[in-house]
Amino acid sequence: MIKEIGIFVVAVILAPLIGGFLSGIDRKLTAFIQGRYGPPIWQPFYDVIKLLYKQRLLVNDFQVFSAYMYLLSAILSVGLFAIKADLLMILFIMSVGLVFYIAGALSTKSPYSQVGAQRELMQMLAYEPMLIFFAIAVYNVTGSFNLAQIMTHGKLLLDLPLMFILLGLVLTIKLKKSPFDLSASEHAHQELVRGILTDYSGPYLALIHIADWYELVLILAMIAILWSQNLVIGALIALATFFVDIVIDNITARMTVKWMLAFSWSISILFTIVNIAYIYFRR
Amino acid sequence: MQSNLLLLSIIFPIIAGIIVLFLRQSSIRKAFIAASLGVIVLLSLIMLATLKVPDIFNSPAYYNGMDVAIKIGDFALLLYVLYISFKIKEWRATFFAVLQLVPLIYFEFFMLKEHEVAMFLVDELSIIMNLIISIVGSLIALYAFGYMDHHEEEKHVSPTRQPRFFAIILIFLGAMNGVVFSNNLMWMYFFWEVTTLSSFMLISHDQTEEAIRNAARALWINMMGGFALLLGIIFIYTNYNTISLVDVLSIKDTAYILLPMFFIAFAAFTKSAQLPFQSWLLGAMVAPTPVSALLHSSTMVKAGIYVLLRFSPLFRSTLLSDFIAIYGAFTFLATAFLAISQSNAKRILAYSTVSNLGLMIASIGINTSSAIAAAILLLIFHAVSKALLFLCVGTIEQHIGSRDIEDMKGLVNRMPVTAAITFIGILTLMAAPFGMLVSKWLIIEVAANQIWISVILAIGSALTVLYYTRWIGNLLSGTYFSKRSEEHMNTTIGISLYSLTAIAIVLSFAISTLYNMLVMPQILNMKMDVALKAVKGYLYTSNGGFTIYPIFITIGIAIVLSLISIRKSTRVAVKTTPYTAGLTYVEEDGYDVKNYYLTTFATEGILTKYFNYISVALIAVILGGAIL
Repeated sequence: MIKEIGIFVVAVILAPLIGGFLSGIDRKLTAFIQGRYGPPIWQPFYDVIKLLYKQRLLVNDFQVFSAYMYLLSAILSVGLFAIKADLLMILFIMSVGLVFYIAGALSTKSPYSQVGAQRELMQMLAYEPMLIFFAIAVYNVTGSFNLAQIMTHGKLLLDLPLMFILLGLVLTIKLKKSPFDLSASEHAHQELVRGILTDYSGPYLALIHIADWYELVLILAMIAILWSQNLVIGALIALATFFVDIVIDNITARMTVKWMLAFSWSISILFTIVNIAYIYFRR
Repeated sequence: MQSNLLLLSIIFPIIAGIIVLFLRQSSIRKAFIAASLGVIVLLSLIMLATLKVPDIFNSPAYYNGMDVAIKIGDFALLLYVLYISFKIKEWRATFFAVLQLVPLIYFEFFMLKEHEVAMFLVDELSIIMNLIISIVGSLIALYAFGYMDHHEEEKHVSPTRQPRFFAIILIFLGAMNGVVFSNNLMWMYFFWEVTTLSSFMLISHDQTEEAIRNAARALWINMMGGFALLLGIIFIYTNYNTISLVDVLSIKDTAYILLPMFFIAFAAFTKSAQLPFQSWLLGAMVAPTPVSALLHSSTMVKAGIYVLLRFSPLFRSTLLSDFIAIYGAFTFLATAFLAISQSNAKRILAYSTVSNLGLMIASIGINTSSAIAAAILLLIFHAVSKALLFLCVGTIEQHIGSRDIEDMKGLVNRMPVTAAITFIGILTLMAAPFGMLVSKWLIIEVAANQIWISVILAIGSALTVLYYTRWIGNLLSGTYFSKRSEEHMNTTIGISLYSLTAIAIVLSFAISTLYNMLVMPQILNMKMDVALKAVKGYLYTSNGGFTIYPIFITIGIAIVLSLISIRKSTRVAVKTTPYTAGLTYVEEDGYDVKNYYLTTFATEGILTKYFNYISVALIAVILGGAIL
């Protein structure tokens, strides 16, 4: 019990550091691809710290609660992941936070933030099923939803190649990267009014950024356990996926909501069915 | 003694209902109804505490009287339905009433060899159903006190038709108790038909043309279900020579049971308004809100689920069961799609009811011990939360004159209390750590090796989150500059809303106690191994586990932190207007951003047509599964 609490706390402390660092690399790399010099690696931390000390601008009280709920449920899901709890439960906890994040943006009466929130709902509709499909496919290989037991299967990647691709797709949609940057773009410099984030400002925007780092780490961790035999290799696979996503972000343009739903649903259902058929074929 | 309690729980509401018919003075009537509701709730609690279940109960002194009364009642009811169907010219109801009369006469007079069977079969499932019917049903009836006064004032109804209204509601509750306690299948059939007739009378209560038309639809569809149920019972009797439920459940040779099971499942589908029968439940919304709440949560539709659960051991691990699972999953997904295209709050709730019932039917079809546990948990939590939400929408409608979620924008400023309760109600219906979501988690985990079903469930769950989240957003929208008004809530409406909210939260919080006390014993009654265990808010199987308290704690921390933050903000924060790209923001005008209803994907009419075709085909497949 004490050991688990320790792991929980360590994960909760480390995750935002890793997430922030990765998003710094993202900005640097994106700048490189676009032929710019780019900000320092630590820029995301400077941004968040500055935001935390900015003046509070609020539209209503519910925003405050939403921002905290989003952050805390992201923290809880990362912590539970670290102590190897139930994968499906973690996904559901993640989605609670998301519900508040979206409802908070919908509750401000700015048309920008409302349209952004509506679009974020569509993005959620695109990737939530994929994550559950992933959990189901993992179950079909390992016979369990418990991460502890899932991670005794060393090389899940060999059984679940298509689900790995789907997770890459989830990462792109979740991070709001092109071509799925519908509700807001991941990079602040790309647009002046950032959709769902429009009315979250100052310290509350900082909370949202930190929550986003947690979720980034969580998705990467899900990719990493595909090679749980040696988690260093797993982490490298996750990082490689992250870099591919950054490249895709820079070579594609924003698509429409309708396209995203049609694309992600058809791909995810097809991949899931084929991959699970493949699992049984391999036995 | 104990069997007299059971008898009382059926007879008392019916007699009280008949007395209410003659109480013309409002205050006396209300006092009498309130007292009766109190007795009903008390009875259910006494039975929960004292009955040793599972067991059969008898009170021989009353058996013959009851049996004769029910036999006469059967014919009287069908003849009355015939009369109604002539009066409103609904020939399909006539058709199915005649179709029931003929086999009923043949069965009762020429086939059935009378011998006394046990009166009541009571196990944890019946107790759960009885608690839901008594407590949730009574709270809805209590709500109707305030609602109906307002309703009649609005519609200028004079003289008052409330005696009729409350009489039927009480009779309805008694009949539901009859369905869940009866051991004699013919009794169950009779009470089943009484619920059909009472729902017809409640839906048509306002006597407008639309109300009568929709009530007629409910009548004929449910009469068709009644016909199927009767056929099922007759088939059971011809094959196994018994109409005693407890004997049927202990049948060893199940070679001839599947065809009657198909008919009973068909009856359950009509009662639970599954595709393609959903139209009667959607039409039922023309009735006063307490009626919708009653039909959608604690009574009527749950009778279908009850019957299916009751007979589920008889078709465990058959092709029939697998097909029922697919059919239920399809309904879950299809109606979730339909719900997305709706902006009418009552229609959203109605589709979500059908969708959740589909989920229950899917898990009954999966028919493993955890799946049955999930279905029962879902039944309980859905009853409470859905009743709450319907009552909220009713309250909102009486205040703002609309049930459209687009018109509920900023409701938190106009009706802070109701908006907050609606918000909590929606959360209990869709989000962790509340019971509905925990049950959904369980269903997805048990369905995980049936790939099509789990794919369907995953998509359906995401759709559910979509249509509820945007509703929350609408309810809570507002700024510091919004015009605020205080809300005055009628006492009975308040009591009922607060109690249901409290029950919804407390039940979710105490899910492990609930499971260990009532659900797990039922799994054992159904002769299955218990796969799901629960300790202190942690529900686990060998495949995984869900723990709720950390999530409750997280919500608690979020509330505390935001309260601190808001308090600090009152001193330091700048209360600003929403961002409008430099345009002047005028609070009253606002900006009209409509929700996405995905109508390019889903227009209700066309989709309903195709979904109905598919569901008819699936029912045919289920029949195939029964015959093969």
